[in-house]
Amino acid sequence: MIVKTLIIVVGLFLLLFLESFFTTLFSFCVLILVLLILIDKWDWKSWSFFAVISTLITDTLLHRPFGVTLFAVAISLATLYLLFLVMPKKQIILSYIPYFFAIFLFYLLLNLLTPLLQDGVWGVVNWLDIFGYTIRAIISVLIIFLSNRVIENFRSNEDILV
Amino acid sequence: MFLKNESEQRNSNGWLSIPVTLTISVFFLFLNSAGWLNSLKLGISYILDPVYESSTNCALEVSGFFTTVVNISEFRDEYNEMKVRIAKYEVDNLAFKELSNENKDLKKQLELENPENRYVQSKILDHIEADYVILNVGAKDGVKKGDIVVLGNSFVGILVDINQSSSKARLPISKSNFLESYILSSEKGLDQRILSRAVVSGSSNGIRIENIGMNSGVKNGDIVVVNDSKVGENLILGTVVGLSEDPATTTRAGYVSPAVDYYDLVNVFVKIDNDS
Repeated sequence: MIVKTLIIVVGLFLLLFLESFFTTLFSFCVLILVLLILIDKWDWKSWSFFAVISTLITDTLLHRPFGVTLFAVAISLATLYLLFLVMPKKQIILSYIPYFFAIFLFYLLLNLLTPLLQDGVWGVVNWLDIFGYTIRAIISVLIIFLSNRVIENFRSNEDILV
Repeated sequence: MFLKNESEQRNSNGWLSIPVTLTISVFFLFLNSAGWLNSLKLGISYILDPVYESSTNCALEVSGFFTTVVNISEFRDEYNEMKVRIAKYEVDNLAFKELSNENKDLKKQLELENPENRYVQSKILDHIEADYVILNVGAKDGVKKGDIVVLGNSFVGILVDINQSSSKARLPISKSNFLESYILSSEKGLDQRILSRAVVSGSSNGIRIENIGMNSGVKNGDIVVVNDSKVGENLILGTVVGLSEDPATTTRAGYVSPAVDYYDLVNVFVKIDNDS
């Protein structure tokens, strides 16, 4: 139990380091990626607790209004689950389209809501931003796809060993 | 088999995290807007700001490295040019040093420095969405929300969020920025005078200046000086460009070309009061 907690704390620090690193370098959000990978691997209580803690810390460090990242994550997650109602979850290509829309929406909401909640003015989104969100969402979906494949391989190897 | 059932059960309950996180986020957004979380924010930033600062520095170094690799041929030419220039500047530098010392002595003699203001030197860590910059000074350096960021006598921005060792400054280009200002004629010496008062605000196309008197005689190239209660003193913002020429209107509008390029800034100064 202590080892598990330590791993989560160290993982959280590492995640925060990577989050600020990639946000500064490419405005790329690692946090949403990790949260979407973990959503169907952890139980909902642990996931929600981790999501609340990590997003609130990120908001503080990146000078966003408290709770705005969590709000964007919740809306993206709702979109993801709604799209999974109309798209099959187990098909290889189709099942990752909802992830694309969810991540795209996350970036859009974050850019629109942060200035709104901080200064009372909606954020400005132009075509270049839309293009940037699309590229980031595609890269994120690829990473989610690859990480799911790697995790599945690990699991199947474990089954063989057992 | 057991593992599979457990995993399926986890997936089927995953939707429960949506209402939970949504409710918690709305709750925190409410508390944040009421300003009740400032001490919590300071606490978190006190512990984790070093992580942010070191990762940002790493990112800037990586970014700098790739920029150097991409522009290596340009840098080589520039390096050769610079060697010639440096030799020339070294000669000039001696004369300037003498002038600088003389200037310091004269300032001391005339007491020109404003004793009410204290300036904290700060490094720019990051730019956010073109409207904001992150500075490496925070509450521990004595800065507070509303303090002014300057470079020389140029206005750079206003601090809008403070952490323990970093802060966020809003640039004049931000849509949330509204500042009263006046326009000085670009003539030098005794002919220089105030031509009109105006309002400066940020927009997606640049810094907009409005409410300029139709017959004020303002022209492109005139100097825009911020004179607002939020700023507290007269600071240069830039020069007027793209002035409208519509005779049907009672006022004129245009844009301000900033005196400093906000994206090339490395060091700035935060003005703080002596009593803080």
